[in-house]
Amino acid sequence: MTPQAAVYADGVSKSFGRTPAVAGFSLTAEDGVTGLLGPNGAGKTTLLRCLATVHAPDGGTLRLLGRDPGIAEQRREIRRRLGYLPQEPGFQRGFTAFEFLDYIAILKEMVDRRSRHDEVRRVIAEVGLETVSGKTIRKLSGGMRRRLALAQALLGSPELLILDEPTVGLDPEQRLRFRELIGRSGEGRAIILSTHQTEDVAALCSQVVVISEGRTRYAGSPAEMVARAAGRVWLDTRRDPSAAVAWRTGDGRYRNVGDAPAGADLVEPSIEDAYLLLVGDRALSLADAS
Amino acid sequence: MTERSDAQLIAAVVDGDRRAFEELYHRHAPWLVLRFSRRCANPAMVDEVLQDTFVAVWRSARKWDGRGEVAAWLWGIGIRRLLDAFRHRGAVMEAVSEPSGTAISAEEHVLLGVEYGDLGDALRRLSPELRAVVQATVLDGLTTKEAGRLLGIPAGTVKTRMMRARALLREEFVR
Amino acid sequence: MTTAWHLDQDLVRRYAAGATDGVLAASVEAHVVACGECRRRLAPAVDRGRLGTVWAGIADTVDTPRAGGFERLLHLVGIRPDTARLLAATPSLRASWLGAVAAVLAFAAFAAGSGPHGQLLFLTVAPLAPVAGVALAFGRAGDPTYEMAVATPYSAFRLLMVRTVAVLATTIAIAVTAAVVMAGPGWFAVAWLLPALALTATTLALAERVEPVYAAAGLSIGWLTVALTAWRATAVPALFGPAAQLAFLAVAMLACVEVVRRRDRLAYLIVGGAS
Repeated sequence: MTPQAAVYADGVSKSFGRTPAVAGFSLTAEDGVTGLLGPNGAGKTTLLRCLATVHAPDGGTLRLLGRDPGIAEQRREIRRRLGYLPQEPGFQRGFTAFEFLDYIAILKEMVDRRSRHDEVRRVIAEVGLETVSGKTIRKLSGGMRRRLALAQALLGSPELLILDEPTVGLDPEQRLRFRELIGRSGEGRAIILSTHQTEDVAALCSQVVVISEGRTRYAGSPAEMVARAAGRVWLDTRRDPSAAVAWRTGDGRYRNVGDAPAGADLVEPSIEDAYLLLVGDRALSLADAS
Repeated sequence: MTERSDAQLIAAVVDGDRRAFEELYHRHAPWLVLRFSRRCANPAMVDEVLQDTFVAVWRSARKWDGRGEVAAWLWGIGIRRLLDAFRHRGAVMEAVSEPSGTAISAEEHVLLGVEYGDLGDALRRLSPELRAVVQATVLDGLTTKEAGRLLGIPAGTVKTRMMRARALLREEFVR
Repeated sequence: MTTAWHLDQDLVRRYAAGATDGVLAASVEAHVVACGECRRRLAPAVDRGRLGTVWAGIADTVDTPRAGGFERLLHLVGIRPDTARLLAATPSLRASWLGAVAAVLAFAAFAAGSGPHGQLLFLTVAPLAPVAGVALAFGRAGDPTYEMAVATPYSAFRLLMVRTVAVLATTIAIAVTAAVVMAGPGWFAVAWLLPALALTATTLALAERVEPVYAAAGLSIGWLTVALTAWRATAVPALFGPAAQLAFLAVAMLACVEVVRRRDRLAYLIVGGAS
């Protein structure tokens, strides 16, 4: 047990009514980027909300930055050192980018105007929005709004950053830039981010947790995760019935993931293969839907 | 990457682009400071006027009509901020003491010739009061009322001095 | 023609030092307005530190969000600038909303001047104004940044209270003014206050469980039903009579106690649905 870790979760659970959204989640995260990977509806958002202190878990032990979020005063202390980017960040449309950040900064208890404005300018520069800081938010593009949302999470240089699907809806170029931004922000702090895209994990994370249906399926490094899939990915001219998951690739052959039959045409596993191995059919059907 | 023109910077400032605004400042603040300083000996006041000028530029950038030099438009804003500052302190532009009898180099003769032609010499022959009025109205682009405020004289006096100056200069050219 | 000629180092130095005569200086100035190259040449003559300090002042002034009229009013009343900023962001304290409320109340007050039916209309409509205002003051409907705001250390309870007080104060001021101006002073100008407080406090008490907009909508419909029933039964005076007023006061107080007692719940997201 390492209660001094940035995040320490042991058997955390959360239900809404009778439906358990998260059951028995455990994680220890220190500095660096931890990825939460899982299909939609896996309970990632609920989990992140618990880590961001905006939901109270129903069961298990949760310690954030060494403190208990169930105790009001300690929760406040956590929030002073926390930055949260929700899945659907909202903005006051009529505000300029600067005014929005100024508003959130006030909520983060930055009372002194001068230093607060310096801090706002700092995060604006960090996310590269200097050219539009005076523009109203309704005139900003989706990618810029996403960066603005990240900027508010960075106010006050938090020790713990929780990012819920930060790259969803961005085009590949924007996603790359955002990933660079997150990678840079990871220095000297703990970042927990959720995603359903395996490339984000491969590019950014030192640790990955795979969740499906509210339960942890894997926790460890991405490399180890890929290693687990070694010898379990093969190509064939057809969908192999013994495969857990299979799909048609661009060149007409089928990529199969599962227990390979003898003599199969094995290929190097990718992180996506490892992920599919862990979450099975459900992941594939949900991926089609998204 | 080619540098943006002043006009492009102003357009960006209208759009809320802070970086363009900063670039505009770095390009124009130095000469504005020097020009203000020739009309106001108090450096703290000059700094204040410089700040007021650029804040006004940020807030009213869309009022630029797109014609002429951006620098001229900036000076128009700046000189009026200077006037406001004078008014608040009940001060006027001090007659900046001029070194007399300085020899002008041949280069400077060219400059004078380029800007004013023979007018330059004629201007030098005017008395300081008349010249101040000519500079305020012609060079700085002030109205007679504003010129009066800058120099601390009534608008009527500005008008009469302008007429005298014009008459004298005309004489020079007729000769 | 001016482009071929530029200031040389010596002239730059003399001009910057104020050691040129008036006409020459004027020529330099006229030239510089039209020549970017010479502006560049003048730049080193001014201290960089000085320019940097002035820039910091400019940036600070320019970046500072401009306080609207309402915000400046709050400053006058003695509210701290950062609290005023939080209030200014509330949709139900914006000019457009308050204008709409004022229009509706003015109309209702005008109707009140025409007799008992009009008075009932006013008395029924007036309490809904603060309820709607409070419903829009927080929660997902009124505050688009709600989820981010919950994760901040600022006390959600304090934010709610500050906004509620501001909304109540402005709405009550508008309603009472409308009533007095349009229909003269009378009991009906204030008979709606306690019902309004009861409804508003109950909305808040429910808001810890239900999204404030839904709570407010439900309560409003309930209130309208009660008022309509009273009208049909010609029991209007009873609905706003002394006994009823006491009942409203009791409800308001109980709801307030409940809000204070369970204020810890506000520290978490109001669960609108599982995700």
